Amino acid sequence: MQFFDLVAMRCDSLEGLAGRLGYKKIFCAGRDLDIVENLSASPRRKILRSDDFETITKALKQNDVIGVMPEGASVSNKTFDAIKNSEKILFIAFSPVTRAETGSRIQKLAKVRSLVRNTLRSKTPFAIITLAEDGSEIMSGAQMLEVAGFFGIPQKHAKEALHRLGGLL
Amino acid sequence: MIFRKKLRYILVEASEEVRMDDVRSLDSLKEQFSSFLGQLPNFKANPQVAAQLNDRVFVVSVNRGYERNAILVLSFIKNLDGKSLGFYTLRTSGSMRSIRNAFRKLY
Repeated sequence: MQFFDLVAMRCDSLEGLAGRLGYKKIFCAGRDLDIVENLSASPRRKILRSDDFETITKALKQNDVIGVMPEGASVSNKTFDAIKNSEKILFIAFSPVTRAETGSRIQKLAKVRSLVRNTLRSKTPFAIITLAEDGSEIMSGAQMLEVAGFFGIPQKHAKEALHRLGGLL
Repeated sequence: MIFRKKLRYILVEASEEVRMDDVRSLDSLKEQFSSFLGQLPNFKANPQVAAQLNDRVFVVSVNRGYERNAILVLSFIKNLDGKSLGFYTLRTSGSMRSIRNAFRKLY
């Protein structure tokens, strides 16, 4: 199964690195797609970053929105249902947790674990990405699988979640 | 019966140049392993730097059964001796020879 990742950084040096890290391709926010906080007119495909249910339901009706990334970590059951029914996906980013300082790390780990549990329970399709903001935050495919396992995502689901982004772009 | 310790080798690339033969970098890595894993599991895993293959790539050895924990810990280490960097795990293998072969293929 081929893995894909999404990062939010300069992508000049990622071509060779993607293969070494076990990815088919690393997509870049700002080049391959946009991450937006409200519905703006942009020619590229978009991921909506919002916690507001109204904004999310509006966005899910648009063809160029491929999925939703929760800004906080709490997503309501209504939002899960809306995402599932619209056949879009939920994006879960790992680098905000791995780069967290010692003080806030436990809190962020608990939030992501809760998000993962609720996502798995609601059977909403999801993708896991690093969303790295610099080179130190990127993780290899093997690391993503281990971190996913640490959050309670079964290996099979984790592999599907790493593969899912490739089918959308 | 002779107890034979089996090791697993992890090929690791750093996002920045790093010299693991420098005592301070090595101590910092071991300290962070101990901090993330806990003292007793760290003692059981016995992570060591087995070789430095170039200025960014090195090999970490751990006791068999702890390689997944080591990969997880390496994902969370974001600085070494006060320098901001990250680690990418590229391959895991049971012998140093296959790790060196993988390194030759990748670079």
